[in-house]
Amino acid sequence: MMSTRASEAREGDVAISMRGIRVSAPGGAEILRGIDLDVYAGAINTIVGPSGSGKTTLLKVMNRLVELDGLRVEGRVEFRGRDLLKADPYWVRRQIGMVFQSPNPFPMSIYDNVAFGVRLHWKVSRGELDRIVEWALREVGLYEEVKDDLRRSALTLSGGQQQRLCIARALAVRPSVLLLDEPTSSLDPYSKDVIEKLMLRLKSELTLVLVTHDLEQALRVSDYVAFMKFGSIVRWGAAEEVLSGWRDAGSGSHDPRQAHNGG
Amino acid sequence: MRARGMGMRRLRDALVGAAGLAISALLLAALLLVLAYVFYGAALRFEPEMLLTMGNATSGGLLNAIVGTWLLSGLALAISALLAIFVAIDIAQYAGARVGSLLRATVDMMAAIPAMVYGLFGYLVFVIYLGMGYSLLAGSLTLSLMMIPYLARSTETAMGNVPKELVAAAYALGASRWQVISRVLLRFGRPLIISGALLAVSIGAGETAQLLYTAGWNPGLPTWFTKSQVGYLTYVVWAGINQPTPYPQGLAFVASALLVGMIFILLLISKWLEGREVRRA
Repeated sequence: MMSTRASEAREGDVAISMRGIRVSAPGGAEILRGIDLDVYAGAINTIVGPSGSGKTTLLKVMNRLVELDGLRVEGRVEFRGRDLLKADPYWVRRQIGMVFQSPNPFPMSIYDNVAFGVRLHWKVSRGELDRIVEWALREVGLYEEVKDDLRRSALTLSGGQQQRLCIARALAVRPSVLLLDEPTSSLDPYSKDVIEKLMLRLKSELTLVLVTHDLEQALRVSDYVAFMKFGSIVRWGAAEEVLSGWRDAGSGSHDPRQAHNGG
Repeated sequence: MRARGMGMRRLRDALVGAAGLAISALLLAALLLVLAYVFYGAALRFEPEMLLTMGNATSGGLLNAIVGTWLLSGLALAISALLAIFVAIDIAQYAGARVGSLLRATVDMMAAIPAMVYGLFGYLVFVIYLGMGYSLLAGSLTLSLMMIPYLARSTETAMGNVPKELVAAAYALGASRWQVISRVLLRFGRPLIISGALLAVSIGAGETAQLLYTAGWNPGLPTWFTKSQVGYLTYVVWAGINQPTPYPQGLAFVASALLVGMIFILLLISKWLEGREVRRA
């Protein structure tokens, strides 16, 4: 049955600790060149940087999705006292959920979308499943909008609603960390605003890792920011400090290793 | 200079377009001619008892052959679907790149083998060696040999057409490989898989060569899966068309019309399913 909320990690604790993460393509090209990064619990940890800098790859290291792309990962990722890279990937992905760049609901009903992950992992009674689905939809503020017809195809929802549905689908398996890969980049300004507010509300319940190339957004929602470039982290620290100085970090002749803790 | 170049190009485009149109029209005319010939011939010679009674391919009715055709292609589909889905899953998911391409090449080569050769193989292996005799099982197994590569290919394509984002979403929720196959690939690929299966059935229903060697002929219905021969429509066409008397020729025409009608209905259903798939995605 459902595990209870995994909240042994309190705000300010390190939820995920990455050390020496290197990712390379089969041909040998290095995508991540030795990343050290701590993700703080109960906070919005944002990764910014130009496209091609390895943000999404770093995100996918955290839920081991990177392996499905045929990439090789080295290093150590500590999560709940064990090395996530050596743990069972299915366990990891249940603990660490992910929301993708464009909404990707399954071509099935709203209800079945939210229930999908729950059904993968647990045998639950109908009533229990109903409660989980309602809870998850309420969490993302979608329940009132769709409660009259949960049997409706998810594809009839608007883009913004679909993305919130995908967040609900991820939340329904009760992860303790949620990875968000540019979750608003394909959405209109209104939906973007709704999802930003949602992220701010969710961080009291779980740890969020956000990848975005929208610096304004990073400034609005982040508690911590890592600035990536060419597969390395060039700045990392509290949001205001990193973002106020991001132009300097981006200016080139900087040694990322030194800048590392300077943020 | 430039203007003339443009003119030439436009002329060439027009010629190619016209040629394409002409060839399409020719093919369509050939199709319509065959259909008209078959259905007109059948309509002239049709008698209701042809559908209601059993017969001996050159006398009596077609009921035994109609039932036999459905039994043979239905059982062949059941056998081949089971195997083909596993082959497709293997190709698509589990097998490494090298094993995958070997499997794919094997499947393609299987598809290239002539029906008569399958018939010979089926006769030697199923009818003689395994002692099934001319029978429903021997015929279906032989048909399924031909259907497997087709089904495996269409199933693999159907799974490959499931958007990668959905696969990623399922993995990100903690789905295992098998769960991704069963709950995402086979599920969302279903319309295309079924349409491929219907096409395979229609191919199976239209085969004669393998069945001559493996199913035999039965003026009644088969009594068991093995050692009991079974009749089928293509045999009636084959046997009736070069008879000198009108009744067997009539049977051949009606059997042809039934086959074409059956296959057309299956094709229409499969096109409809493909359309549904596209709309949904």
